Amino acid sequence: MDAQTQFDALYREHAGDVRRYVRRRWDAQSADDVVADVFVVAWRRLADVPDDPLPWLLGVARRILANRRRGDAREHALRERIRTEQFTTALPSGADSRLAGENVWIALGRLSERDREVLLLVAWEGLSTARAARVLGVRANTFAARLYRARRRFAHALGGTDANDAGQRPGSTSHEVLR
Amino acid sequence: MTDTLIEAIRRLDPYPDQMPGPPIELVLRRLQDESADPAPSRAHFRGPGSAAVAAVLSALVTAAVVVLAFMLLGHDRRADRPAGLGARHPPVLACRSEVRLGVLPVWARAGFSAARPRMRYELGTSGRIAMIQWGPLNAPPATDRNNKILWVSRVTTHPGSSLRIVAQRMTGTKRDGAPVGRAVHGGPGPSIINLPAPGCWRLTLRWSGWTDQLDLRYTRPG
Repeated sequence: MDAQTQFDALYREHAGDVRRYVRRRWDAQSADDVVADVFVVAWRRLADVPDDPLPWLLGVARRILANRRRGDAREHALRERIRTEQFTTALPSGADSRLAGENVWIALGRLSERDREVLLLVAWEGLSTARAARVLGVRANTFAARLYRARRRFAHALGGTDANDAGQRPGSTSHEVLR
Repeated sequence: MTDTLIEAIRRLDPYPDQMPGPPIELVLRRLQDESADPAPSRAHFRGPGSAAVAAVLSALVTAAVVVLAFMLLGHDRRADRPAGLGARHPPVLACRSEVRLGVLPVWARAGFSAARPRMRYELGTSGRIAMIQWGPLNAPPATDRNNKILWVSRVTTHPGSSLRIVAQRMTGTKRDGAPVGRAVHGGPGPSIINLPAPGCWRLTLRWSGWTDQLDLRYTRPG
């Protein structure tokens, strides 16, 4: 497969997921610029793109966003959303009222950037522990430990303890952590 | 049991549905621009102590960009290029239908009785329109079934403004034959779109001042 074909396939397969990742964290107007930056890097480092490219691409996107945040006074989309969300998310019947959209947004807003990113990689990107770890460039066990701690802090920010914590410790597989 | 905390966060996902990537021309134009001004900020993505490797890679990348630009500029492109692209000869992708079977995006569900209708559909490359199909698309049309397509616009439409389609048969990145025109009176909505020959067709869609594009594969019936 020549480089252009490989790149075209990479773009077709993953550009939408990268765009969604960026839009969840950055304003929609310039999100596509960030996506373009990601794939410029991907083109340049095509030989380094692993067999499972998405975590690698999201890792590049994450670093580009971090660089932009450092040089950019704008509030990024997630913070803005946390401030202005209309809290219309419906709760399943019988669900814990602490988990209403408003409370969850506020609790997310109280977390550190790092804790929030760990949770969002799992909840929004739907990545397993191993794949999410590759986005952050850490080992799966390290990510599992971060996820464990982030969940606890998130539960605390929600104003209660997390009933799901029992028996879950760093080193669990992603499946176990998510149960 | 599903993790209730993770599930609570998941419910807030502002983009729960798949979305298409931005036009690849954004990337290719950036590459072309930067090939004239090779000052990339690769330091953030490469480990320390790799200056020699970086130099070699830089040379290879520059050569690759030149080759890519040559390959892309060698192809003529339809006149209906996306607005705002400065390149005189925008690059062209190989024709490939992206029809998928899945739950329709929220904005494309109007008129469906199911809460999460699962259909075969494809989004335009700019994400402004959805093409929903009820079966394989055939050329020539099957005798017992029409090539029924439902077009759903994500963007505001003007009443009475037709959806105009220019369909170009493609073989990879090359045009194959003359384009054909189709119109859906009244704008995006139910339609029957027959095309003259099987193959991969690149459809350029115009409606209410908007444009979008997608590739569809028509096959011989049977």
